[in-house]
Amino acid sequence: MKHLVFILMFAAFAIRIADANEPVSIVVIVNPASGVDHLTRDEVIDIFLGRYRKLPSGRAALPIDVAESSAERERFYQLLVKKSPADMSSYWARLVFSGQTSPPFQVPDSKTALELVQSNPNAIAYVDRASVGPGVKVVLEIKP
Amino acid sequence: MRRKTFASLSQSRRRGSLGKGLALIFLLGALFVLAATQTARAQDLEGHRFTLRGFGTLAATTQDARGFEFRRNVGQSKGVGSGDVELFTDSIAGLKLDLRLGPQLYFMSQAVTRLNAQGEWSPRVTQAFLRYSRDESLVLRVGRFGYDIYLLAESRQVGFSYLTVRPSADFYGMVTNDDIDGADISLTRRAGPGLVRARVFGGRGSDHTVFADGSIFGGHSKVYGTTLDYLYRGFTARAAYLQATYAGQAELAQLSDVLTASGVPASVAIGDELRGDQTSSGLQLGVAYDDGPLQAQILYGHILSESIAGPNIDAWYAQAGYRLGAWTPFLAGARSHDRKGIRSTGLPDIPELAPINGAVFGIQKNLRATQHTVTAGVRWDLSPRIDLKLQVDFTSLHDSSYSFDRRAVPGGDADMTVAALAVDFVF
Repeated sequence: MKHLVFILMFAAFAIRIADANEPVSIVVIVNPASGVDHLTRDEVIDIFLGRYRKLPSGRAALPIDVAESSAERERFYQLLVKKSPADMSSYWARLVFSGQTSPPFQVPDSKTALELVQSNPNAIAYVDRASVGPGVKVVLEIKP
Repeated sequence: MRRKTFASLSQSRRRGSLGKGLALIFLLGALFVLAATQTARAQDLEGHRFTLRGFGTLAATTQDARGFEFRRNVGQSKGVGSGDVELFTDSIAGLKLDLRLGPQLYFMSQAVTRLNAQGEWSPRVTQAFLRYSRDESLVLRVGRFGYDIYLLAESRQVGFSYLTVRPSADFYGMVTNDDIDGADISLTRRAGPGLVRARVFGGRGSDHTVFADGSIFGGHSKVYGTTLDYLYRGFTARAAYLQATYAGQAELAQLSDVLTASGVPASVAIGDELRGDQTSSGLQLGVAYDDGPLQAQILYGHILSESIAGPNIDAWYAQAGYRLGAWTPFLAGARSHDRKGIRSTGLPDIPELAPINGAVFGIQKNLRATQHTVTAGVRWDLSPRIDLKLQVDFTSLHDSSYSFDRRAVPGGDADMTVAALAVDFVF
């Protein structure tokens, strides 16, 4: 019995350590009225990299970026396309200065991104899983 | 005497360009400070009706081939001499103003200053167009805009957007301006896991090519073309076609008449080609990979001209870079090759006919493009908007007009090592 208690305590401790070390995943969110239940990783890449900004429901997609200095943004692009902030800046310089397309609409923080998605059926953003609030739908989870 | 005259002219040009050079340094410095200190301001403008952006490159370039002047492309009026360190070859600055007219309609404009064919730094409007797009799947543009010839970077003017200090002189050296006044339509559709994008464009182009004797060919052309891309994650595959037609020129028409009147078959054939409009076309095939730390591309270009007044070139370009933190070392190789030899008029080599033989030879010589280059360099990203690059190019010149051959007896193979240190920034 003593052994069982010890094993359970050890397991609980190990799980807590694992939880604490596991980086929070990023989720991609849309408005429930967008008509979209799920997006593939490729579709999200195409929307956020300005290649094809159309949701599978036929709606135009309005991608939202949080501030360039935010850790959330850095992690999102690192997980999505394995690109650093400098890489992304260089990527957009290619497209913006040739007039091909424009980067995602930029807001100061995740709270503003969340509010925009809640109020706009075309908006699509990324937030930490822990930040997901009511009035939005998770369509893709990107795990580290 | 001629040499003395040239030297004094060169000195007076140097004095004149000194002030312009300082003005460029001042402008680049101001833009650099903006890039370093006012990032937040540029961000604040995001989503507003006006967006002001800027870019620049301040680069010092040198080379070691005695008797040569290295040029970035054939549109530059002068090149870097052996042992000289010059700022004009790779330095450039530009401002871009975008005006949002509605949710789907934009007006975009851009002005760029760089060394032009006249040896000046006068700003040139490289973009001024209306852009309509509902969701990026269909994009319409009308006005002045750039056409797609760069696989990973649609604009060669924004050094920050690519790995190297400059687009390959061997592959892109013949392109002096990459914009047209016209219209284009781009259509993107999902195809399997990736995207297919087709683009058709047409309009009026403007070129200025500077030849070794200092003469400038400035001409307008009717340009049209199409590109077909397949994009899947980090992969981009492209097939592109472009055709440019220049209106017949009086000098070429006169030469054509003389050649045709000679009755010599070789001359008549060349004369027939030089009569009327001159058309060149280009085909480009390429694959690029840009995913994670690895960036690579391979390109093939084929330029075909209907007469001796245009280039007939095959060109290859390959490049790979791998990011290690803020550092990205890269390697590249390029080869440009003239498919045809220099044609003879078949006329006797006598003093009376020397002007005709010389003109036909000169036209062809001015368009030669046989050389190859191996490039090694490193890009260091100082911040998300500023980088520092060091690049060395080892070029073997066989028979090429990209660089000016100023040797006492021009001709013959030569090796040239070009080194450049550049700072790029965007804001």
